[in-house]
Amino acid sequence: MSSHTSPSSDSTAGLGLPQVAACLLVGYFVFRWFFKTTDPSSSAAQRPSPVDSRRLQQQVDVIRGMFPQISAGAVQAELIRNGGSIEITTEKILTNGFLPEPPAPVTPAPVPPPAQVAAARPSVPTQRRVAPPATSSASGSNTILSQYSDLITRYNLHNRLQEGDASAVAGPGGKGKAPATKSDRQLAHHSKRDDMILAARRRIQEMDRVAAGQS
Amino acid sequence: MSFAAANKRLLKEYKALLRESPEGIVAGPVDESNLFEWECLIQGPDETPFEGGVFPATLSFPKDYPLNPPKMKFTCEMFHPNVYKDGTVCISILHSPGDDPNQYEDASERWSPIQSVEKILISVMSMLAEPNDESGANIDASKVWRDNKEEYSRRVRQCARKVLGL
Repeated sequence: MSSHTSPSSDSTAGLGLPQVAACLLVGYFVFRWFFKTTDPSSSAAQRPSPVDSRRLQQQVDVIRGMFPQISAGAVQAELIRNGGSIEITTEKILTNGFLPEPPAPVTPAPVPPPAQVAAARPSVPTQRRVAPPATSSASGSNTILSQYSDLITRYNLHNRLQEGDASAVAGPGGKGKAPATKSDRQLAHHSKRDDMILAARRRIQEMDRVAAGQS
Repeated sequence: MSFAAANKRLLKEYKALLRESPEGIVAGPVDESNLFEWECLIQGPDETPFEGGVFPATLSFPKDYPLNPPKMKFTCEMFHPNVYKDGTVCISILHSPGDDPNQYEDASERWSPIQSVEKILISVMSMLAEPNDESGANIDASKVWRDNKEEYSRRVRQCARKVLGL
């Protein structure tokens, strides 16, 4: 008798327990999967993860290694647009000979910290960049160069143009101790920079006067 | 770790340059809160078409500086055989020892951590005086420089004046 009852009780227990265990296991993995996928995606939507931006930077470096004449901004824009494919980017450069520049103008004077640039780029509408102004990049120089402002405008030196040579002598020279605080250093750097620009301008004007006198 | 090292090294170089910088060179961070982006000015060497001019550029340092060199880019119109049209400077000291795009540079000419911002700027200054015809970055400028020195001088002087708003 006991040989009859024990297999039946065994079979019910054998069927029930693995099923419950399997259900729990599956449920646990589904639960984990949900949290795993929703978590990084929600944070990635807010800001590019450091791994991604590093990978993007590596890809930009690879492409720029092959085509140093293409600007990093253009390469980055293209990589973002095509989902990070080095092959597509390379192919595009080889067929067109260039990459369209991203629309955000690269104003050199106030360079924002790189983190900001990386965050700002993907939000720029990509559609507009798809159609490249073929002439602008082909002729190159004109479009790129026209965006540079001269140094007087860039560093706002208009009100110092009338100063004589004296200011260059009186200004803090290149020698001595480096200022101790951040703002003093910045001040010293700016005054050196501005003096150099103004001195150069005076010198070219002087050269012009000499040339005019000779002819 | 390397980031902190880079920061420290850049601040040190900045202070040294403020204390005493070579004639005709000014360089420093655009804003000291980010030491990895610098602006610099290079004076045109005398007895060259660049004479009298002052040429602005930016230096972008990698996070592992000084293991790898910064990238240098002129932020003004430049007409020089070794400067790309977007302003990027092509000079051996800015190439890391590992990569040699032109296959002719001596490892000793290339970047190594014992180089510095000051040495880069001095090299670029002498590059302005003596273009390297082996690595043409701006084909137009290379041709004009080789074939028509007078026209080259004229174009260069034009750039120099434009930067200074003349």
